[in-house]
Amino acid sequence: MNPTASCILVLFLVSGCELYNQEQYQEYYAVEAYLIAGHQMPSVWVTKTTSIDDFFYWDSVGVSNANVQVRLLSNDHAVSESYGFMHGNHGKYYPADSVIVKSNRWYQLKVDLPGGDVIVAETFVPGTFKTVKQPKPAYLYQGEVPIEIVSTRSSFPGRQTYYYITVNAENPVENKLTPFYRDLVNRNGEFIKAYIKNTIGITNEESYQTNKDGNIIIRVPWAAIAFYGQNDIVINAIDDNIYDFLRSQNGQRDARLSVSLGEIQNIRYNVDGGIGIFGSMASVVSRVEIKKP
Amino acid sequence: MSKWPIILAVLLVSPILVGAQAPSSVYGYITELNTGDYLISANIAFSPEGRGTTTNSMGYYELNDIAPGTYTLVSTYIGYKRFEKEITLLPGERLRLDISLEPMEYRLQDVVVESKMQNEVRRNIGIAHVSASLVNDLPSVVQTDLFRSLQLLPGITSASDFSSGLYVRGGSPDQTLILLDNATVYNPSHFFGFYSTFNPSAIGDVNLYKGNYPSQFGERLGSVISINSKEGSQNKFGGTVDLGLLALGASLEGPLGKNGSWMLAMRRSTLEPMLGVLRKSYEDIPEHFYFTDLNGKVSGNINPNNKVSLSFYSGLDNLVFPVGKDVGIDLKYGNQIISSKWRHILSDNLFTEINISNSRYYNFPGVNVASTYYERSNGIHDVSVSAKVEYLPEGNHEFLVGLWIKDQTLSFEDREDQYVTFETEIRSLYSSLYLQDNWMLFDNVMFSPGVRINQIIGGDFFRAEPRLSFEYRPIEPLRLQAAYGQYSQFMTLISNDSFTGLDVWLTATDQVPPAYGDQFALGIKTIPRAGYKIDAELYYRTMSSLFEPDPFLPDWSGMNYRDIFRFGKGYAYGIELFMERHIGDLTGFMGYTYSVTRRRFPNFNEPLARKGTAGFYPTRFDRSHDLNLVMEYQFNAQWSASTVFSLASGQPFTKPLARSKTFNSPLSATDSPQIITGKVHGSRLPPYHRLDLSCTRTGTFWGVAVTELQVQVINVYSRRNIWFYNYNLDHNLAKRNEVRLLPLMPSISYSIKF
Repeated sequence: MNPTASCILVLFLVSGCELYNQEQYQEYYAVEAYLIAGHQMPSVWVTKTTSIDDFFYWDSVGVSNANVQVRLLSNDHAVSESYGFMHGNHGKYYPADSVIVKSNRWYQLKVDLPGGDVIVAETFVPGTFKTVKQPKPAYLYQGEVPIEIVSTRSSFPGRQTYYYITVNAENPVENKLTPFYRDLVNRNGEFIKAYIKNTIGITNEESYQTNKDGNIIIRVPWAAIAFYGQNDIVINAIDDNIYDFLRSQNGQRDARLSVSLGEIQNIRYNVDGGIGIFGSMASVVSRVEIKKP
Repeated sequence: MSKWPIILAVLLVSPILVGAQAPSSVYGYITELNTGDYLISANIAFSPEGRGTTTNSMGYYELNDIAPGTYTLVSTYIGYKRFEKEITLLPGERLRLDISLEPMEYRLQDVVVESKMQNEVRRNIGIAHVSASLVNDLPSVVQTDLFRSLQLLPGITSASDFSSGLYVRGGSPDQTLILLDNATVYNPSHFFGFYSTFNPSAIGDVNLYKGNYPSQFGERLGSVISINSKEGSQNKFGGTVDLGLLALGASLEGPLGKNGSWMLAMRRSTLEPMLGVLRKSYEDIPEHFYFTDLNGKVSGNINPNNKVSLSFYSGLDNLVFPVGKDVGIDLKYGNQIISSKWRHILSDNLFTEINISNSRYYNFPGVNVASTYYERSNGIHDVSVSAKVEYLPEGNHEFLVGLWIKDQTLSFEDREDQYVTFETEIRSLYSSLYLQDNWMLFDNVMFSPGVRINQIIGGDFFRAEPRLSFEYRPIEPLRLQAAYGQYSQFMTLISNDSFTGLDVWLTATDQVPPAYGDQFALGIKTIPRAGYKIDAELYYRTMSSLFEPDPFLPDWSGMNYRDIFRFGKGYAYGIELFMERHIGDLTGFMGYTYSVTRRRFPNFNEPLARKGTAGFYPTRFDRSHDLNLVMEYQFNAQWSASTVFSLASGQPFTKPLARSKTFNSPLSATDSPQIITGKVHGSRLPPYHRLDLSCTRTGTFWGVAVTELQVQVINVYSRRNIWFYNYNLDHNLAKRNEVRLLPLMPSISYSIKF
């Protein structure tokens, strides 16, 4: 074979090999629990993933025979207290005792699974905060008076507070949808349920104004209001786990400037031995009525 | 007295006497007759003995050591009529002879006029060339476009049918420096990237350095496209009118005084009448959606030793789009450039060029969602001053020394309901000094060492970047080439390969170090027979300290500028083959590229079970195989046809492998899906292929103008290539939808040139 033909043959052999191959489906265990400062210890879900090519039935993915514990940790991450959980159904585990979640403390989730796998995740519960100036009882939708809530500051070590504000509708029926969301439901076929707890996403504490007392003035944009009528505005100061989870989970759904269309990236799980979310937050709630203009 | 001392004295003095009579020399400039623009690498030689040379980058030539006498001087240049003149050189005379070459008006069927040197320069390592006529003749999606023509060259890929963005040798679009008359063009696209901003009627020549670009350029890790505005005719008034499906263009040109010219060109999209009709029947049609381009240039020779030019460009995209009920988008972005140049001849072998330019990029997107206003403002304003000196001493050297200073101000601001949530303004003063020598070591060995020294004044960054290239010609016409260079980049671009209207530029600072990398290249080029070329190049490049904003940051408020970035690295390598036939009625080329492009960023593309082990991944524009076949056939003086066939590996995508849900979130009323993907870009779309055809008829317009009617069919067999997949998880079984690229698309254009 002459040198030119040899070179071409080598080139095609080399170039024909795919240097970077895709993985095959692998089953993972998933956990889910959200601790809210000052609230009862929540339930914990333990489930399994399903192949993207298979049907997904929520009642068949639960893991029923796991040993679930949540532990309160000291500052040096030693176990101070341990709380047991009991399995209910479909992978949902209830706390065995009534326990109130403490703010500014570390908690650890430990799940021992039947095959010997162990899932461990830790969260630091953000500092509690309170509302010092409630919003007005009622607002005219898109009126000149914006919805503002003045609150004390939450705290989290090493960073500013990240908020996730939801507007929870009391009576979420179609004829109470605001025009923007009615359009989404009617024309795009979106489900009303998706807007019952509506949000504009994660916001940083520094995006809000501060008053002279050092409290922050949280503006709730009109874009967050999906329903007229009574709404609960819930201001959640979130931990790193929820922050990482939500910002990457939203990236799976929403277009991003620097991510190609259709491109899906993995969620950032701060969970060892599996996937999921073991997060925490501190919250305050204010009620307002949104009047139709 | 013996006569011998007298004879001896005469013999000793005679060489001096002879030397006093010789040699003579001839020098001058070779320019284009109509525009007065200097012709680079034009041939000039004495006939019939053939001794000659070529013009340098300023159109200058010089022939020394010529015995006094009468000669015929001949100058040739591809596409121009042959110049001949008889000259008589007196002993010791230095004759200045400036030559203006006249372009050929008619295509020559059988005679191939070539500038050998010009062709050779175009085949130096890393350089690619597309002729202006090719840009106009090739079938293109709806409208003729420079960048879409460049995408056909080996080593250059596109993101999709909808994108004119250039991905050169594994580099993203921000790694290519785009210069218009030496001024940086920051967003070279219209209609979200569908077309480039360069109006073909306003373009003079285009120089593309795919890699290993010389030391006179900087600022980017990868490649350089240097575009010069067209110069107007110095002899007659003329113009063009271009009618396309997407845009209407017109240009005018003419003489300015005795030795000057001017040119003015405009282009505007013509979608709005169609949008107006659609608005009567459909909702959600843009209220405004247009782009405009305005180019101009004046130039002239003050005297034989001084030439000045002033050019400008202004481009705008404007979109006002009520997307739905109570939601609307308002977007304006564009570039504005003004550039001046002064070429001055200091002496017979010393030339200078001084350039002052001002470039502005702005981007003002705004979204109104239910009376909540989200607005962004991103702008760059730079003023550049550069000066270069070219020195051609006797011998085998060509020295180039230059200085470049840029004062750049970058601003960025995010607002929500009038409240500023993030803002930054960064002023940077860059300076570069560069040196370059083209040293002909032997008749068949050329060595070109160079260095570029970069500094951010006021910052800590200082970097000396060597640039070397080497060429050896063991036998004619075989050329063996090698090159190495270091490059750095101070800016980064947040963009999307699907739409570029929201492009945001950010810059390095003392906290954010610039990216840097190495480039290696090997080339082998030959001419197997007259009218054919075969080129092959092998490249490898590294990219370090790549900086880009973390795509998963939801809010930048209150964050340090450095903290919004993630820092990564990458590499790319490949082989490019290029075969061209440029003789006869059937001309064209075939380009093939095999390439690998990888990136790595922290916390990205790491296995779920092994955190902290982020791996390299292919970029979205990584195409293992990319083949383009371009052919053009001239039936006769009136009719011609061209075709382009493209075949490429499918683009990578990240494949979802599994799903899960959150069932109990206090932050949502619904179960939220979680998708577990495989390796980033570890799967590929089906292969891409497409065939385009174009047919052109040249005629006259009432005998006063030349016309060109072009009919094109894009995607002749309507191959519905896949753009991307959309996964719908609302159903029990995940549904994958295929979003496809262009179907068969006919188009027509008509142009008049007078």
